Amino acid sequence: MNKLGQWLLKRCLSREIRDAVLGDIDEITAVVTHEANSGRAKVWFWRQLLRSWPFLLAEKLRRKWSRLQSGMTGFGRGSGTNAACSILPIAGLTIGLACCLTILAITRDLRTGADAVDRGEGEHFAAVIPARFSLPNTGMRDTPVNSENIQILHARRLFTYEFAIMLAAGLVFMNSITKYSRSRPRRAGFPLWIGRSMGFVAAVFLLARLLTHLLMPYFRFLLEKQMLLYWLIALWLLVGGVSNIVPALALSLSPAVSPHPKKHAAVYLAFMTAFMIGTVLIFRQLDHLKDAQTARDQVRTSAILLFNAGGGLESRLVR
Amino acid sequence: MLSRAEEIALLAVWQLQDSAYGVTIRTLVSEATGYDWSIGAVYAPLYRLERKGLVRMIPGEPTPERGGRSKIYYTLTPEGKKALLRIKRVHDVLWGEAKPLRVDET
Repeated sequence: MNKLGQWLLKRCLSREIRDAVLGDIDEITAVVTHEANSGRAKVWFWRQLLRSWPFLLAEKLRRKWSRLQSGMTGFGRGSGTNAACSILPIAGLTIGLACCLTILAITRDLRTGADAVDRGEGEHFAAVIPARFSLPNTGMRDTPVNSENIQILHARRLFTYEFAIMLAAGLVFMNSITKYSRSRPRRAGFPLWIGRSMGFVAAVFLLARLLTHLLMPYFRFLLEKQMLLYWLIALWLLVGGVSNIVPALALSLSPAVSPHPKKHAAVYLAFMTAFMIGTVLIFRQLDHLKDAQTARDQVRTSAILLFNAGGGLESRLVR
Repeated sequence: MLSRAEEIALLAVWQLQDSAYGVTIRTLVSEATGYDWSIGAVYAPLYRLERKGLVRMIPGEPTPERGGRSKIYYTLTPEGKKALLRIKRVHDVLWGEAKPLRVDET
């Protein structure tokens, strides 16, 4: 069985029958090769693949759908019997998503300002940042427009993109931990919400998304704060602490958990630690660069160093 | 009600007894129907039967001729046997009261 065919087949096979179907095809291919030749076996294999693909894909989707349904049912029952434990991840995700949306709103605001300044439409940021997105106490409105500040603005913009993506990645990672821990026996005594399936996670996510929409106006207080991004980081750490690290640690320490969550929890904790240190470093760099005479070059150099893992991001910064 | 493919798959599982897995089921139904069933076409009705609780999946041991991959054997549940009996009864009743069929008749 060639690699491309195997890869295509794996895409449409559900986990439960993956080995069995691939084994069946291997077995029949061996028979055809023995009875005819390898060329005939290849033709047979590709015909099988093309004819089987729609059936197998439909079966996979049906399995996923039924899993989602049972997860939703589990979520409903779990929330009813253990409401306090269900509120925790929902609250954590709500705060996380609200942070993401706030960051994106500010990012849009800064981009609008930077684009206007690029076109030479103002001398201060106050003149180019729309009033509805203004940041009253951050000092940004009174910052004089010059090439160094524009570079810093670009760097901050890039950082906010990164920040939002990393935050989302953190939340997704929490979901994966939750998913892999579903085999944990209940008698271990951990809250019900740790050991649920993807359906449960999806339900939590949808509910959190709804709550985020409803609660978004109350997050406007963030815009009134000095040191806005520090506040956002504090909130993000709260999200991490409540929603992510606690279950990760709990799963790591539990003897009843399968090896997957332990491995994922360890990777996750390393990721969290690295990201926290990286965040502090980036902010210290940006603060330092604000006062530096050679801001342009330093921002460029630092950004390349700090974001080198991000592929072409530095080229966006240096534009 | 079961679809035609489900009926055939259910009957094949019963006929093959302990050796009912993907390859043998495919071979049997292909010979019986005269069509070349694809592997996907075999597993789709088996999945639906499993969802309905008519068959049960039993994982087998990995074998070298299958590249170290294990088989999944299928066996009928009590509900599956009842469903098969119901199908047989319906066929028997309908065929029993029907006139003998010849191809040349209109």
